Amino acid sequence: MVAYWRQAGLSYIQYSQICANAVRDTLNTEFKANAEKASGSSVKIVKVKKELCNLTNATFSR
Amino acid sequence: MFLPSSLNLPHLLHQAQTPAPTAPTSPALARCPSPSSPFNKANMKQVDVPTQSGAFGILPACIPTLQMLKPHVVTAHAEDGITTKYFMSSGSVTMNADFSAQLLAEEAKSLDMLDLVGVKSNLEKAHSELSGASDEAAQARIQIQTEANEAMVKVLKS
Repeated sequence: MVAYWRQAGLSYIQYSQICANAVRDTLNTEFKANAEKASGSSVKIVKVKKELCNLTNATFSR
Repeated sequence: MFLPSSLNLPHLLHQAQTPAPTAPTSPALARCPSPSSPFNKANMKQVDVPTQSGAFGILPACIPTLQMLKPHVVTAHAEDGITTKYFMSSGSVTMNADFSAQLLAEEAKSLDMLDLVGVKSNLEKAHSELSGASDEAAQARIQIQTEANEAMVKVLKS
């Protein structure tokens, strides 16, 4: 039996993030600040540009 | 060299707040990434865990197993009879062959940290958003939020 979220294309990691956010949203105010640190919302994700990738490949292939 | 554009790290290991029950028949072995873990290397009598395939209690000498959790409460029964409850959002439970166990949760909060009024209002919000969801993935996300909030309501009301 496949879980409905897996059928919709979500992984367990995504399921876990949604559940964790739901729990963090309902914390009492004094605990919310600590929870925000754990939430990963302070992580910045940078997508590497393609030209930089090609440059790196060229450097290694010399 | 291709770098993935989103880092789907298995961050359960890094963000876990982990009570770790072990059987009394063995030296307590527990790996707890979180320094604030309340049950690091503790011997437990039984731990009730809510998993995707149903809730069950882990007793000492339980067969090795690996299960993913559902948002619900985990009850830890210590050897001296004291019972502690934590609401865990999601994560995994592993029972090892040497009778040690790891319980890794993305969020594990004691029940007094949760706000029933907030849970109910989030639940109503999720119900109203469900009708407006466009595709299957968005519907699934809202359904997951609904389930998590419903579990919290059930736990906080009882």
